[in-house]
Amino acid sequence: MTRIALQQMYSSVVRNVMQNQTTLADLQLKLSSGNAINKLSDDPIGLVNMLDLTTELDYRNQTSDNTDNAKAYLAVVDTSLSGFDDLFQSARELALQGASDTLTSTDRLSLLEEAQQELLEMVNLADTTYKGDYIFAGTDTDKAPYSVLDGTGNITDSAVTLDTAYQIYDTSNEDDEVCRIIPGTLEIDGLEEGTDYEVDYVNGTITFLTADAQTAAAAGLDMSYQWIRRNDLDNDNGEINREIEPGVTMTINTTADDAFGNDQEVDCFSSMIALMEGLYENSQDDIETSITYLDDSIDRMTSAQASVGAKTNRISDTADRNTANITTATDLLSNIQDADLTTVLSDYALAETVYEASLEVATSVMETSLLNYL
Amino acid sequence: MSLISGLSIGKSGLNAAQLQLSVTGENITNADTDGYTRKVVSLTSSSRADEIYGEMGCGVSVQMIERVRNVFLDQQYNDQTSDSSYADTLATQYSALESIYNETDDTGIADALDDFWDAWSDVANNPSDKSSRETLVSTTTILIDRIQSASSELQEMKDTINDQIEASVDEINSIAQQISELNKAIVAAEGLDSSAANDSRDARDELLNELASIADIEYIEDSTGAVTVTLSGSMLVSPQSAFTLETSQETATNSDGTSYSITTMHFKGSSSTIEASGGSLAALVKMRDEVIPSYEEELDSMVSSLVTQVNALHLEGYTLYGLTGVNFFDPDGLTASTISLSAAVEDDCNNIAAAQGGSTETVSGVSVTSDAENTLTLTSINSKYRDLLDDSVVVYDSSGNLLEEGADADYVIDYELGTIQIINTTDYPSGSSFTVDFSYNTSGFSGSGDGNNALSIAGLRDTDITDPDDSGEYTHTLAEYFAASVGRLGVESSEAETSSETQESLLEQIESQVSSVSGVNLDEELTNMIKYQQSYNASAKFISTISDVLDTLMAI
Repeated sequence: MTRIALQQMYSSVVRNVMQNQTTLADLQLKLSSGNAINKLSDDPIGLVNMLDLTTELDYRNQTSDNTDNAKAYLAVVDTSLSGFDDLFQSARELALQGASDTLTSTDRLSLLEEAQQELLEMVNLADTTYKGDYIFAGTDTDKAPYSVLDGTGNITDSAVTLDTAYQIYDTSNEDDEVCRIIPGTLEIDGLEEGTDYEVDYVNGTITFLTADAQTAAAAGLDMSYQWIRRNDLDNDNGEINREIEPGVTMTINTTADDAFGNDQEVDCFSSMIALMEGLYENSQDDIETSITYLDDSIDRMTSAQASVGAKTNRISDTADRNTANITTATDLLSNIQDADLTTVLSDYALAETVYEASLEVATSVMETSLLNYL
Repeated sequence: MSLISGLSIGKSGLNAAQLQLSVTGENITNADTDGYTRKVVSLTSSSRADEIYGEMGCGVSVQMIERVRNVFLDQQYNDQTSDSSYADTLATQYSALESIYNETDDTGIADALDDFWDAWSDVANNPSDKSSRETLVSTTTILIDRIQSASSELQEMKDTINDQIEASVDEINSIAQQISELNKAIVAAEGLDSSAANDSRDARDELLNELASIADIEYIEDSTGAVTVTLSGSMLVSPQSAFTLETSQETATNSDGTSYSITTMHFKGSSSTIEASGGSLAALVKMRDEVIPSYEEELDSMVSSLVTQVNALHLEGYTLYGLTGVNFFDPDGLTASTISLSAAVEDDCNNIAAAQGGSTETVSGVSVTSDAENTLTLTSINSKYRDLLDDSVVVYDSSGNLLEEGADADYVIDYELGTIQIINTTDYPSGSSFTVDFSYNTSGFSGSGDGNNALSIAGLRDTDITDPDDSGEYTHTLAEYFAASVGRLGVESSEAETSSETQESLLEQIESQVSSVSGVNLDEELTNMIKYQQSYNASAKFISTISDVLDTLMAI
């Protein structure tokens, strides 16, 4: 027969009561924190899964932010390109109207007025910014890709011959070669356009027709005009990329070359200049030729827009997949991380019952002694 | 037998019952005393030789008061105390170690690391935006703080263990001294009148058990009653005296190359270090010399990969000022305790190299003339025209005819230098004019809108950049590596906890066996008390009966 010593009895009672208390405290912690894992050793395997999933989820959330950012960016590009498209459609209407036989030169000049507004609006759109960054400037986002400049100018040769095209240099702007002069803005002090000289507005050259003009040119011309410069950016083909899904990056910017063309003679601004030149010089033929250029610009713009549309679609598709993955990962994480309330509550109720029972038994055992009967 | 001797028989009964009652009283009062062993009075009947009847009883005599104790259980109990104390200390230490890593909520290193990569991604999204750069700097500072605080807490834990070892050694010395004194008391008491020095023995047993919980000890009792205690094979207490342990500070090297001090113990006058093989002391040493350093090493190796890999990419990128070759982290801070931002980035967030630099440019219609060596040098037109793209070069002659590339055709190209060597010098003698279309890679800063280097760095989160295998291939991402380290800690801690519980319950079993033999059961003692009371009453009654008989005799 085993002897039960007093100390043994008491210490086993205390031990059991304490053990039940520990169980209760653990469950209480789970209930109050709502977490199944409160320290590393609670569930090491679950913990590693939890860390992996947390990282995965964080990464997905970040790419989700990236796609939102990219979508917003592409929306700005798209708006800008649509604006261009509208302007070109209306410029084409102007050209068709201007090419009609019934128009007088005055009518054409009033159309020119309209075309000029459209051209300036186009330059504005080409210099669209998003959060302060120029969107058509490649990675040189702090520099405008196009500028409308007020030029003063001269030609470099002092001995000029008649019927030769001379390149104009803009003395106000670093002696740049001038091109895309806005028709109607060029004035030379003392000389008459058409009589004394002719201008190639797209290429920025001047041809002298009279001896007066020849003399004036040799003496230095007092010339003013407005022109559109494609600014010389080192990185206007630089790519702007976004990580749209873990490990997958996508170029989201449209370069000026893609949208507006890179050949100075036929890019979209030059096509407008060609139209305006026709209107200004009242030349039906020139206007008709400019329609071909305008159509090319419209095609280029449409294709740039289509590319933006395709990118937007791809991003939306990726974003949807991302969202689905985030939902799955969140569910999995919650399964590991969050305490299952039903289980914990029922465990808690059970633990409480056991704890109360152990207290009750302890009191009744400890109360009983031979002393009670002596 | 004489009537008078009857009185002395009665008296011996009274004495015995009295002694038994007083021992019972002692047992009852010490029912809850630690280390108390219950005592019983062992009685024998005394007898004398009678001429007529031979051997005759002459009452009861007290042989001795003995402790009820099983020495084999004692040995087991002490051994188990060592094991249990080892497991318990290890579990406690692991639990402290776990609490350094707050990975279960969002204040841990893993979380800060995620935020760090997110911040890079945001810089990639807004490379020219000052606020996203500021956020990256502050996020990195948080990551660095968390790593450094973990590192310093690990170091503090080792320092605390050193203090605990020092305290343990003091305690061992004090216990050894007390055992030695009790040895002398027991030998003296038991040698004198062969009575058992019960209370001294209880005290000594208790001390041996305390000693066993600190370190794994061996002990043996000799015939005089003195015990000899050995600690890791060296004598701690001899029958004559106790030996003193001392601590000294030694220098150990961290995984990051810095040194820290460890406390070791040795006997006074000896230089050889004593290693405890069990008990709480062994657990503390294991924790300090094996467990904590292994986690420090993993943290250091993670930091080293992080700093090296991020810097490698960062050095190649361009800052907002167009500078290259700038470090993001201080390249010398390759360990958890030393990781820090580079001074450049800390001073000015525009020094974050978000730009990759370089892009591709296309030019057409470049006019160039072949020189005396029949070479077209594009860099003479513009120094940027070098590092040409493969298959991008098209050459026309002055009349617009397309030339053919190839060693057996018209020309060959040095793409890197941007030179074209004319081979067909028959048709194109030196001094001929050509028109060239080509694309080239620009080098250098690529504008404030370039976030491609930040994008590459953000991409490191999903790249294996740490934990190289035998062939030097990286096998894990930083997050995976850290999660594995933390997971290992969780597993080890939970194992230590389980082992501690197992050892604890084994100890309880033996404890209850010991207690079952040596502990006091009140009901038993109360029963005995009644028994001894009755026995006393009976002896008294016997004396009164003898007295009555004597009266009767006297009255004759």
